[in-house]
Amino acid sequence: MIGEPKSNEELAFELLFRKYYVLLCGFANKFIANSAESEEIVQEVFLSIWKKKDQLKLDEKIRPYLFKSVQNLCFNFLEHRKVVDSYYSVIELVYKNQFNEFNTYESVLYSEFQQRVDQGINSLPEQCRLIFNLSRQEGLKYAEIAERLGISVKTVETQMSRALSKLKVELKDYLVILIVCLFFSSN
Amino acid sequence: MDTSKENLIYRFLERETSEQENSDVLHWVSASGENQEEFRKIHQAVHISSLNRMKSEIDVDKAWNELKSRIPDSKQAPKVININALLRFAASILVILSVGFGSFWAANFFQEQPTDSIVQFVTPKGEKSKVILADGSLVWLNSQSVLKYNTLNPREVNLQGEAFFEVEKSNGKPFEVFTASGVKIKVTGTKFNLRSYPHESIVETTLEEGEVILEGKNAGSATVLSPGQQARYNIQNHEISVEKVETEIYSLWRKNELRFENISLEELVPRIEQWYGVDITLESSVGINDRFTLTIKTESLRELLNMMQLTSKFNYEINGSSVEIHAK
Repeated sequence: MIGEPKSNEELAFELLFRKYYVLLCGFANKFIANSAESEEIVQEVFLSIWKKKDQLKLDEKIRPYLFKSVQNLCFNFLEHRKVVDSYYSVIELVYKNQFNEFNTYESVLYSEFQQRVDQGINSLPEQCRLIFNLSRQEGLKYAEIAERLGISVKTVETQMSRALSKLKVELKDYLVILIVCLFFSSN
Repeated sequence: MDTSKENLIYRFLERETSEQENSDVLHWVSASGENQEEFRKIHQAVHISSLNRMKSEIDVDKAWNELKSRIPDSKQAPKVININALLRFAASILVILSVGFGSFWAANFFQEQPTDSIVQFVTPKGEKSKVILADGSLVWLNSQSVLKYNTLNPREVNLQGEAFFEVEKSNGKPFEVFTASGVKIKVTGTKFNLRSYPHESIVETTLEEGEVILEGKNAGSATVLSPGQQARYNIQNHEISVEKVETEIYSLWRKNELRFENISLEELVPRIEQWYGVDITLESSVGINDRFTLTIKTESLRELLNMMQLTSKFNYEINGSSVEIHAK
């Protein structure tokens, strides 16, 4: 790959990919709750963009199109999977009329949000924080956490609920600020 | 919102709930727009808190290389070589499990020197996929189907299961499909649906456009189909019957739609199993000769069965991917 000449188009495409890949995977994962499948969807979107590169301009303006395309593919996925997994029936029902889910999401900036989340987590009681981190950072199931810490699954559940309620409160204020910002910036 | 409901939703989003609890959640969100709004808030919090892990799991370089290898006219040769090496390594067989209607560009296999390898596409139960062959021909693969070909000649393919072909013309060079039953279908440029599942006694070829030539195992002479015709080849007695049909019905599956006219429950059950990716156990006293005319588009399995209960007397039970149908 060294010394391979690249067209401007290819460069622009790679830049877009590198810039948005993780963000879009995160967005897809909101609906799909499975990181491998989410990545597959985002790859599909980039493939289709490459195929349509003659009609599209590969610059920043493509951003909403990227999110919209990911959302569409996610909806197809839900449509298909809901018959075998009732989890997806719920997600589909809740989001089927949220056509602009990506508008809100798009403006969710990682770092700032993450700071808030980290603050929220840090203010949790120690055991609660430990359990939360095992679930979030290491991706352990409730039963695995319970086993590792020698506590009951019920306790894990309670502590997780505590942590998540706290985050929900933190986030509520943030979303309000976000929507106001969006409003002003779009005018 | 009471705490126990909120806890249930947290557990649901963590995928820690049972089927029964999932259906409780579904009921709850169906009840009102406010409930949905509440659900979205909780979901947002749960989702955001998992982003960090997702971020650390994703390897953008790896993803980029993967994407490059899938771009048809990519100039990045090294990836292609890797795939070929992998092909040889993996006993010359590459199995691609595609999700939903995800497409896979087979074209990039052929940019380098073609090697003598078998490419195989497999769709699992309840899923479909779309394959673009090196000559530009399109193949939609229905659930539980296998498409194979040798890279030296991608216009000679082997099919087990069901597929819809949209074959590109190639300087008069024929495109041939072989089935396990010995039926061979020879075409130039055309659109047709071919159904040849191992457990079924009929190989069904339905022609939408163009012309196909059908050769049975011991049939001796070939049968030529014209658009709008369907040939049914009986594997046991090698007889071919041709009739005029509404061709559209037979390839609707690729548009995520199924339509049946006056079909018996016995014939319908395997179609439903395939479509939804489930196993159905039919109690012997259920009326297998009850007939149905129906269209399935976005209906869930439950919705479909409820609909069927309007005209046929049975009860059903869904446990994960297995369904039991009992007489009422």
